[in-house]
Amino acid sequence: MNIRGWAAKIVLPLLVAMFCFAGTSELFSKSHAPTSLTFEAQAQDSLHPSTESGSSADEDSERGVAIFQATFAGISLASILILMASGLSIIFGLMGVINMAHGEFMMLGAFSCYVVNMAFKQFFPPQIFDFYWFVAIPVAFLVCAAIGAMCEALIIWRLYGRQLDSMLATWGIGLILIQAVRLTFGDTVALTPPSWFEGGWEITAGIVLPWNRIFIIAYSALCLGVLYWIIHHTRFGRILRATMQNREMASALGVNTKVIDRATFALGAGLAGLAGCAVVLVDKLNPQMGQGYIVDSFLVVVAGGVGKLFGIVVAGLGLGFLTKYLEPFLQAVYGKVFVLLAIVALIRWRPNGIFANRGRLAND
Amino acid sequence: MTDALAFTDDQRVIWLRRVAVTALLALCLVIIPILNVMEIVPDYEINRLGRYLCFAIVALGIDLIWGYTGILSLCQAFMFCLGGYAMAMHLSLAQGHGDVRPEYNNIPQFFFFNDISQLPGFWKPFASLPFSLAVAIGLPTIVAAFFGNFLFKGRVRGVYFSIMTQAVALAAYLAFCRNELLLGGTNGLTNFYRALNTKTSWVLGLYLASLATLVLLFLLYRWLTRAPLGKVLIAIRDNETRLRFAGYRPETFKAFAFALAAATAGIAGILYVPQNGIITPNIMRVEDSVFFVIWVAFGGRGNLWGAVIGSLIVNYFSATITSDAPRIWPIMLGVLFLTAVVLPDGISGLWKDLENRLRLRRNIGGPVLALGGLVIFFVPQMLGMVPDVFEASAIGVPFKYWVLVISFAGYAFLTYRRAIFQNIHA
Repeated sequence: MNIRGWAAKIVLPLLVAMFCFAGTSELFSKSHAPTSLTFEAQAQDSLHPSTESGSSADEDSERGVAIFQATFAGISLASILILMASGLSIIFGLMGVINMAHGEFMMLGAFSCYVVNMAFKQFFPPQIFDFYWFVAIPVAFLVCAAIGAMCEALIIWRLYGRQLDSMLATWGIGLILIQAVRLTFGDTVALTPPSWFEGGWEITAGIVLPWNRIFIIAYSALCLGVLYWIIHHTRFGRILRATMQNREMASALGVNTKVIDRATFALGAGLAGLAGCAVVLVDKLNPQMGQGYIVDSFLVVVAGGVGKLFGIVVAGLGLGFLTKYLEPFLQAVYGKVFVLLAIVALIRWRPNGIFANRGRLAND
Repeated sequence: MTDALAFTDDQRVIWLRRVAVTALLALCLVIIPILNVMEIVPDYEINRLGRYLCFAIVALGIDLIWGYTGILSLCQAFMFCLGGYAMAMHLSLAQGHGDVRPEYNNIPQFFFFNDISQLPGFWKPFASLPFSLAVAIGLPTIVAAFFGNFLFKGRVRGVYFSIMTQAVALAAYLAFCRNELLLGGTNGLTNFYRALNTKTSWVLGLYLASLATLVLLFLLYRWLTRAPLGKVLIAIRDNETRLRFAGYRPETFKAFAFALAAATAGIAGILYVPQNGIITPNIMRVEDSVFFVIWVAFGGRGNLWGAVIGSLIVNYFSATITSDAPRIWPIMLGVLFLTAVVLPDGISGLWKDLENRLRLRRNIGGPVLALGGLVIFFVPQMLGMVPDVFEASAIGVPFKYWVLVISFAGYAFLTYRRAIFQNIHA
């Protein structure tokens, strides 16, 4: 690894992390002073419910708690984004297709979860109801992978090499999926989360980590691990990487790239479905739920570098931390605006993401 | 290509173009206003057409940056709203005949719901109309020029640029939804329609102003795309690297085109706001920007007529279907996206087919049938005079949709019949 490589892979994330922590310790010290931007009373801040009661407690521990909670919330947000973005990224990296329907595949995963939930309520004894979520995981993966493969076979293969068109076409697919789900299930559906995700783990007084968030983080880590194993330690993964790096060469060596494309699209869509299973634990279930995640996950892909699992993890964590650290003092919306603009600036500086492949072509 | 042909083109094609343009202009510029004055065409139809013409203006700009330059921008709705908000601020104030009352200190009422009793400083200059217009056009231009220059200089291109514009659109939407921005939050700015939207003379006047602006900008864009500058833009679309090696600076041209499209969107916003009577952040979402793009895609990118006609057709179609079968519309829209991608020429492909058939002295029945179906479907709607026969349903679907289905099926049949019957590729 050359110096630039070291700079990009190690020093840069460290700097970002240091900036975040240095910034946050400043921020949280004057914890709740309303800034000039806020006219309303301080919005209810779900991030630190416990800090409000102990205003006389010493400031250091309060700040520590706040930072800890924000870090935890950041990781939990990041884990969903990373799961979404990994699917997007392998699709974009392999086929050059911008899958705008990815949020909708996530939504389909969430609704598969809902269907399994209803089926358990209907047909199985209530003692085993809580296990429905584990049944829902493979179901969501398979449903999304099947629908993804179908879309690829019908429409998306026509759009290889036409990135901007693929963006519009997949947006259209997304609209159709949203409306189809809305016509089938209606606009408002409620899902009962398994009972063991209620409550949280109280580490010390004042710090409570909700079980569902802890579980999501573990679940995302597991999914990512499996994905890493598939990409780097299986025959399919090897062929996939080969096709990603040089399609013509792989094809000349006997790889059926069309099959690989279809399988990869199905895998990407299935990953979105897995993300959907995680999202139902923390978010509302409705046909448009995917739209709220799609821009963010694209930013994660672009910032991390296309086709780079490690880049996605770093970018996802960075986005999650930055969002959650900025929330207390900029309010959620302005924090988000700031993060979006920061990513625009990042892309200006590194147009192909933090961990881009450095090619020799002028177009790279 | 078309330029070279224009001198030696078939007499019939030239004649056909003249007839079509004259008919369209006569319809919009003479027949509809006269029928409105005679109170045959209702005001709301004029108002609706006027708003759609504003969308067509935005579509012109999108066609320039997407169809000609190859930049897919997903923040044109934001640029449109910048223009719209500047105009709306003027129209909300007393000087713009807004709905201000003494009990509310003669400033727009929404300030009072935010506990503000004085007009904020940055609102004050908007009392003057020229200043508001300058901001409405200048602000989107400056934002786009800065943003475009910033990113293009870093060689951000293609989908990366699209995703960045999306991020900007989302950021702007989130910010405009906040009350602290003092622009009305999610409720937006409204209550200026008293002065404008309800009086016939204003409705017609604004419609004619939109039409005139559209025609002027169309001429400007036509000149621009045929000028050497237009050739450079097309070269950027087709091979940017090669153009760079030829000694041009693509980023400057791209930033220029992006800024011009933004200025055009700002102008459209100025005209849209008084006709619509309200502006909210809801029309600057990312989705709206994508819809703007799809009008151009449907009309035919890289073709200015296509952009205008496409935005009118899709909007009328959307209005009709959402009233007849609201639940089907999103699916139709999705299908529209897919057709627009599968057929890159869109509606203008029909017209090109017609012209080519005229040149080659071939049977023009197919494209005439399809275009005729479009005219029969859309012109009565533009006039607000849909005959009862059209609304009568056959097999559960109103007759007007059958006109479209039959004409396009006929077009497909006439085009591909040889392929069907003789196994020859058309």
